[in-house]
Amino acid sequence: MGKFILQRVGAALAVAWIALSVAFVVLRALPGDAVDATLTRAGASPAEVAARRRSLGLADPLWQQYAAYLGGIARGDLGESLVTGQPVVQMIGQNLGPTAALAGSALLVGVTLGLALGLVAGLAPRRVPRWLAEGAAALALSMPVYWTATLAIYVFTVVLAVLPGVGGGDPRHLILPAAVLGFHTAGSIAQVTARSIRRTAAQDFVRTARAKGLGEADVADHILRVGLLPVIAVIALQLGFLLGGTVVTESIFVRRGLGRLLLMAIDNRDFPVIQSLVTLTALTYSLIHALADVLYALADPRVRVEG
Amino acid sequence: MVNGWRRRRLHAALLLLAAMIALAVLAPWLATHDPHRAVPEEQLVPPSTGHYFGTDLLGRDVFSRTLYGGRRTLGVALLTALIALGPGLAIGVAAGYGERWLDASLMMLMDALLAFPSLILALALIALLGSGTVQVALAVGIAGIPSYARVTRAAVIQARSLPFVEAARALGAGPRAILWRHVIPTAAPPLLAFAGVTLSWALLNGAALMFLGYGGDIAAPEWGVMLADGRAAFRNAPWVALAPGVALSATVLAINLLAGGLAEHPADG
Amino acid sequence: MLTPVSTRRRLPVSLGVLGVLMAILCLAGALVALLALRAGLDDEDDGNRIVYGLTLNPSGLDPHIHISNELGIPFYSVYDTLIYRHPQTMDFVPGLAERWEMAPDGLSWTFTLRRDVTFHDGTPFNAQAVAANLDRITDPELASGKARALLGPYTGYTIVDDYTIALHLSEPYAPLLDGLSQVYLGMASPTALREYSKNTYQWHQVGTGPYRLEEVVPGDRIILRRNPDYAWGPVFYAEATDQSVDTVEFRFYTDPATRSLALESGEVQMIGELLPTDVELLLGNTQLRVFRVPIPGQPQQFFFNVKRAPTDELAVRQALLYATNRTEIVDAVFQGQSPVAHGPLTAVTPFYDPAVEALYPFDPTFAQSLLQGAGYGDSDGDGIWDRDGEPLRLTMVFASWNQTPEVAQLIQSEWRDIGIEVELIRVPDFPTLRSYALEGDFNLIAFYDFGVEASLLNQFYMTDGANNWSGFSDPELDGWLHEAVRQVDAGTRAALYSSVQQRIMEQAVVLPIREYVNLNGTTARLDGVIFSAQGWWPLLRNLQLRP
Repeated sequence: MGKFILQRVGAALAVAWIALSVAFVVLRALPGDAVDATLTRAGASPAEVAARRRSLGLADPLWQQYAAYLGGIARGDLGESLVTGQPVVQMIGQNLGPTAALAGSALLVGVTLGLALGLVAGLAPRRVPRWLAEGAAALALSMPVYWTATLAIYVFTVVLAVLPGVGGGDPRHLILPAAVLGFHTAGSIAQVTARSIRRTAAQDFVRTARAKGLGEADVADHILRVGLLPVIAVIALQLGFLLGGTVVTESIFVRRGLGRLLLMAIDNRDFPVIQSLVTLTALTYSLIHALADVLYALADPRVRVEG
Repeated sequence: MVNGWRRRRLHAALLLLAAMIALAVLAPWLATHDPHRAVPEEQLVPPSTGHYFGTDLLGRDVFSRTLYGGRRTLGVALLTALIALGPGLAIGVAAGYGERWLDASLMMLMDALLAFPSLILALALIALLGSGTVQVALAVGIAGIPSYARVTRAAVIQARSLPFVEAARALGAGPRAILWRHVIPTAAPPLLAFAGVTLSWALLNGAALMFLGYGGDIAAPEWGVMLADGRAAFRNAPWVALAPGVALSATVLAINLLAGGLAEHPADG
Repeated sequence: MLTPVSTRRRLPVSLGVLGVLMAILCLAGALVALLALRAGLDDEDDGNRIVYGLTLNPSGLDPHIHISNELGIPFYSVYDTLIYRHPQTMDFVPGLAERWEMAPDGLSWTFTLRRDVTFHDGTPFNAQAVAANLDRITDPELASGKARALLGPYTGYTIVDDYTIALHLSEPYAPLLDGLSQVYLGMASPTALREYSKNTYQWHQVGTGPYRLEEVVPGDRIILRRNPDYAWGPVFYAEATDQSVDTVEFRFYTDPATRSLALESGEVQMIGELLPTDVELLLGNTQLRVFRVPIPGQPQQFFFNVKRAPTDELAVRQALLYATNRTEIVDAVFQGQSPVAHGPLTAVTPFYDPAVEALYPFDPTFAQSLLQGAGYGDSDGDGIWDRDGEPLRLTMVFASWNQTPEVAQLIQSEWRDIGIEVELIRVPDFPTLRSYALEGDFNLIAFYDFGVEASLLNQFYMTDGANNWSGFSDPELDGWLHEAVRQVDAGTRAALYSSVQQRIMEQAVVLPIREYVNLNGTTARLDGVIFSAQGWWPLLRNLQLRP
């Protein structure tokens, strides 16, 4: 088991490293336009731009820059914002908490709602609840997040005035954004859960169990045990969706966070920030995938053998 | 009975999608007003006989803008899907059918790209490419390549190891013949289904980037842009955002249902 | 008894799957709890606290360097200036300077400073402190945007004694006092200026004002705390009471759709630049109040690029002016809550000349005749006019603030009706706007500044003006503008500025749209809501928050 874990984590780190390098090459190998553009726009003279490029190490050969970049990451130095000069690590630190909270609570809502809808859609004996659950899941997957958010703000803040709409700060402000983002996350989870349960229920081993005389409760338990396995993988995938979803959600709900930071960095063409955010999310996502693989293996002995 | 309902649902989805496409294509004939023409005296008019979906802040007819918006949104989504499917298919087939070293290196690259959440990858690409419809299509499209490559590879590998393919090889058929006559036709259904999923994904993410303001032309009707505009007017005139929102959701829903239908298992439904 | 093998192994595997799911849920829950805890810890005793909504995220916060008006909203109260303008009478009143005197030749001004002032960090305020500020502002390394420009032909200072300083000019300069009354020439603590670099000072600003800068999280918030030692404010500053506001937290609401919502839900107690369409809704709410504040200075306008075809031709520019239905724009986009603008200055600006109002009535037919006179016509019947095969196509560049995108789209539609095609380019921020300007990559560009002093026109319209993006050059106009800042007599200045305004409009250098009226919303619990003479900046000192 230990070897398997090491394998998966190693693979995740390798992938993250490649992603990081790709990002580095693409952003640095640009013909200096990024730095030039940002500084010239701020009113710097050509001499100042050249000096700044030298001080940022951008005039060095690419491999040297790459080594410095990796060294910086190892030290925890992600560079400085081209616009404010603030250390990127500090900027990320200031914005990490709210995004983690939003993603965490949206995941909570999404998994709970998704499992509930999926179980109903997969197991409910009567048609109407099944269709309602499936319909809800389908809607969750089809509607754009920003539209649901607009509707939600309108209904709950403007019309009903029960929930705060925009802003950050206290946990009450988390309710609406987490609910909206969670609703959309639930869609995928619900569908995969339902599908997987249905397929498992149709498999031979279930018929065998029934033939052996096991009660319905036991059969349901069998189905759940195996049927819920793919759900773990989907939940890991949803994190990617969530990380992207926080960008739009933070923008609409005027919440502090990494998503808003990314949008501002793109508008300002603040490449050190963009690069750091992108690689940070890649690293997080890879590690989560590795974690999901490990958990999956813990849950299902069959997978471990394949490695 | 179960199968009958499933078929009816598929038909309904197909009909809905065909209707959305038809509305977009026939926009110039169906539109009641010039979608660009601002008539400020008629601003924020609620839906009525003169304006089926009402008007926006500048007095532009929302019905006509929704129709024309469909052309732009669906057009960009189609372009995006092509950008994702073309290279994705090629890479997937090369990896699934080719030498092991090719497979390993291609998949490592794809995994590296998959390590980025797709919207964030698309945003990073927009930072490099700038704003505009083509840029949005490129950004979202490139972000979609690795998923499709992976699915293609999986389908090809699976098809390759099927008994009748083995039999064909044993009978002496060449690798190219096997690829074209056996592997690809077998892999086609899940690939088509995932192509559908890719299209709806492209639609949602493309509209998201337009919503965020990276679409370039701010006056041209487009569902994402209209949703952004509609937010400011939402309290006074909810219809401005409702029409494009419903249109976008309906189209994505139709594509999802269709794609789901194509990939279905006997147990589903 | 036959026990199915699976039941014996059941529990561990079942735990496996469900256990995994529970683990995920617990992780998510932990993250939420983490935030809840941190939020709880952050709530100290803030006393009377308000949240103020800013609407623009300036690219920098240092008033000595950056030009944004938005930064003045918090920092007007962090700094004091040597002189203040009374918000109602517009007269100059003492600030950090008790008295001032102009030398007979107009080439120097002597300021006698107050002796009882200390900076927030304890540094005493004196002539040396003023000198340090002047040195910083005039240092070319600093690249000051507005502050240096406001000093005009300033050449240096002389410290007469600890509380007297003289500023020297190379020629008489009437707008000096006005410049000294703006936040951009606020007096910063020399200690803090030495301690921080030119890039980092903006997050650690130290002044003498009624509020101290407590915290800046760039792009997210700015927190000010009342300065309890403040005892040297200008005459129009109120005394502190127990209803004075102790803490002001500024948050950014760059998306207009969120502003009225934030106000109504109590997220913010004060916010500017409300959407005109939302104001109607808010007027009916007894818990809120709306303040319409006209802003002196330039109107919301577009500069023509007189160096680039087709706007390099006077006939074309004038035709575009005649083709713009400004009343329609003001009614549609601004719900009639702003006056229409007709010239380079707004009607509330001193030295405004009403003669410009007659100049360009909306007359699309006449516009077309002007174009025809210039040789344009629709030769290929595609609806777009052209000349010698070249269609009449323009590029319009603007940023998102002040609803300029809606204005631009309306103009695009209006001009299409007379055969002109416009390409709209929206940029995300000021630096990008500026780069378009410096490249000359536009036919029209939205740019304007505010202020009480008509001489703010100089940087835009003089041949070598720092922000002359239009490329307009008229030596006679240069002479008038130059002379107008040398003259102190109001009558003379008025006559000169009349000529200036009329010449600018006759030459169609700019397309004015509407006079800027800031729609501020506040909670009805807030009394003492007054804005500075420049219009933008609230006097935080005077706010009283009723329970």
